[in-house]
Amino acid sequence: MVATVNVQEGNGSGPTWSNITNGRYCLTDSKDPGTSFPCIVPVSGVARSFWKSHRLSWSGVGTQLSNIKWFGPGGTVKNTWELGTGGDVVVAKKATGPHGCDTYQQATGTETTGHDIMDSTNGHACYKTSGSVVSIDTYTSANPLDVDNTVYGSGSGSSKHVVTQVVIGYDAVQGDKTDITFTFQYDEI
Amino acid sequence: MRQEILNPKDTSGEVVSLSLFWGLESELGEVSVQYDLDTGEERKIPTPDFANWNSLIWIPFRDPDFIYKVNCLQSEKDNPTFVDASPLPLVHIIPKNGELSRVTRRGFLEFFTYYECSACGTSFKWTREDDDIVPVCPKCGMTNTWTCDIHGEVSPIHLENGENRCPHCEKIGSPRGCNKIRNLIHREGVNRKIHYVAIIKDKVEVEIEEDKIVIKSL
Repeated sequence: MVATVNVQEGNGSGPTWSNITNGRYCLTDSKDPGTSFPCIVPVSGVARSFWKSHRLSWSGVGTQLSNIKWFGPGGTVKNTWELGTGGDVVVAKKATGPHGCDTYQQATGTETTGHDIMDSTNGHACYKTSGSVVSIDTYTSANPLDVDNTVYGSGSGSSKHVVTQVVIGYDAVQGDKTDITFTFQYDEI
Repeated sequence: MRQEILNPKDTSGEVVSLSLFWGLESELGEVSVQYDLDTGEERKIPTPDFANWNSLIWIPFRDPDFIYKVNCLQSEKDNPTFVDASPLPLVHIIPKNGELSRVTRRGFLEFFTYYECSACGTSFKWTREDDDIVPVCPKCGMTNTWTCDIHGEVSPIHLENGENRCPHCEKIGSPRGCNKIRNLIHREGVNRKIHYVAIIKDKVEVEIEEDKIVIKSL
């Protein structure tokens, strides 16, 4: 049998994990705020979106599900989205893989910027001490990010999650942006 | 401008059917196959872990009677996994004695958005490139249109920041934004794919895709 697998986004302090078919980086902790709470181009330096937490969730695994990885669209997203000086879409990674986080932390920020994943005070506890963030361009279908190397047995479950964030430079071009695609991959039998 | 016309099944997120099934030969010469070849009943894999297999096979579904049997049995299940005939070749991997190997399916879950043309129904992905301004239906040429509250339908001035201004209002020094009429409807899509993988531990990985076979040195 083939497992039924979905991508979920975590929101709220609980959190609530919801199946999603798209996401929008914004300035609130919401999986789909529409065009409300848009990211803001700062006057100087960089601003950020609230970070996003995404994971795989599944049911109906016959024997085993494992080897969970994630990758972006390839190319140069900071150019595609015209994110300006210092701008990019970044993904958090630990000092050593696998890089998925198993301790959820709600995204926070202000009306003008999300908190930096790496901020020593308000950053993400999974990554801020010994982790880092890198451009999502680093991870492609040929070089995916190792998210979770746990071997999950039959039935239902969910994976560790990937944390991503948009960084916007002062000279970024405002406006609605071309969509980009994120892909999760996994082995199952 | 870069556009890619989509097959409706590539946007629906439906669970895909299987094209290949596994076969394993143990070091004692015992053969296990994913389905009972007489009845079509699905079996569990003897072990999902690396083992000392004599050989691994991914076998394409070809025989219509066998496909029918498998699908009949699957249709009785709560979460059926249907199978389809496949033009892919049979892939047979023979590890050296002592090499550990395993088979697995590799799932891909891709989330994206696309446009659906309200005039001709074509679904397509649009990626903005250097000289692009707006998406255009690759089949009938339909675009979104804009209207000015004063001048009606206009061909707007598209600004870099995403604003669309009325050219007539611009001329008289009174900039006015236009209303977009969404002839191209933005929709969400999910694409699920399955690749069929055989791995010889620390040596080589064979990944069978829809239209190619990729062999990676590990």
